[in-house]
Amino acid sequence: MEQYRRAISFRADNAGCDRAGAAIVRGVSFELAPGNGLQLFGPNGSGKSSLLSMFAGLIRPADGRVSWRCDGREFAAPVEDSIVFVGHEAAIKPALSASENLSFWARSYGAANTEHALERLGAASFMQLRAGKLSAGQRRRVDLARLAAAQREVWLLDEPTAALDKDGVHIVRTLINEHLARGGIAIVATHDDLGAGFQRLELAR
Amino acid sequence: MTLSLLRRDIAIAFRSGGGWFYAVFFFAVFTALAAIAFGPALSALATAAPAAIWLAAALAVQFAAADLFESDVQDGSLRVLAAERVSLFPYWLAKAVLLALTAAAPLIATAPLFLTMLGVPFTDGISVSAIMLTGAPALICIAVLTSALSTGLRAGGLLATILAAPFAAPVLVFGVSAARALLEAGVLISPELLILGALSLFMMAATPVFAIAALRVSLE
Repeated sequence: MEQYRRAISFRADNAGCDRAGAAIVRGVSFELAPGNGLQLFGPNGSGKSSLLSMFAGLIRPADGRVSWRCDGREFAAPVEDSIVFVGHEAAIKPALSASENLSFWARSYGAANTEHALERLGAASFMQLRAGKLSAGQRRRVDLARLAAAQREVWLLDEPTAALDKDGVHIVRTLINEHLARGGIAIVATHDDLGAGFQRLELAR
Repeated sequence: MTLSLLRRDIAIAFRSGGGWFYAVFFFAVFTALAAIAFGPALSALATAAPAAIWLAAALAVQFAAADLFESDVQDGSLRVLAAERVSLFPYWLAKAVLLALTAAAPLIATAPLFLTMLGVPFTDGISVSAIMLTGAPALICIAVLTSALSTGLRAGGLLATILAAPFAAPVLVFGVSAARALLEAGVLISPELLILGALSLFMMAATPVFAIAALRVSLE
């Protein structure tokens, strides 16, 4: 499989973030080299989404520091055009078809092959339907097709398997493993077991 | 980035029950009601016309912007966009141009028609449109800024309108007096028009950074 263009790694040193002014996560330390994945666990409200937002640079660390390394240089903010972020809502518009939704995101990634990405997610059969008519699981598949379309090294995924059926969960696992095999890194908040080869970080409430 | 966002939002506006049509519809209703309220005396109408048309335009643009960011905040699109790129300026630009195309442009294009209802001759109405075109960027920037500030809040559209009032006041003052100078003295390029243009330039330079900061805060 073709490797990614850049080798990006990530490091958190005793990092912590706040939510609504209150300390929610403290003392998170880990390091991800190219090809490494991290699974975030923890009860609802333990700060998994806040942490992902912090890694994406949307929230400033309230404590400690996070840093990115790309081809030998260090950055405090995410490397340009390196991240695909999948939030807990499917970022798609009900008035547009599945394939129009993905085409929009693909253009913003500078990616071309949206049809292939929808096929990978098993979404080819409903790609012409309006997203408003799709089920929650189908919308999630369209949203996740961004992963297959974009050629980006860092995946930040918030409950990517929510609303997915067994087959869908299997597809997501395969995608993530291929991504890691290509030298990408992934941080995934999920209650599903992603299997061996993932560092595990458990958050307490 | 800006272009693909704009294409997406225009497609949505045209498909979801003619969202682009509301602003011009509001504008028509407002000016018609104003004409009825001011009574049938043409001289009274013509005196009130500049004020009525500017108020109608300011409110129509403001209301059209009420849910400009709502859907992108609700479905997480804004979070995805902000997480995946460094600058949100292309996003701001796409929303401002969207508002210009779907709200301001139809208003300016139809204003001469509605001005005839208020007793202003059609040819003068075209000149008033040119004056509105000069002030429209300011109205758009104010509407985008206040919409960004009130995003995610309950009754955000109403709050945005209240927030917009002090910013919109100078635009209305100079917009109305520029229109008066045209209708009463026949002067199109008046000092008031130049100040109106300056206000537009100022708002275009000053507001994006605050609107983008407000959007980023809404993601925290």
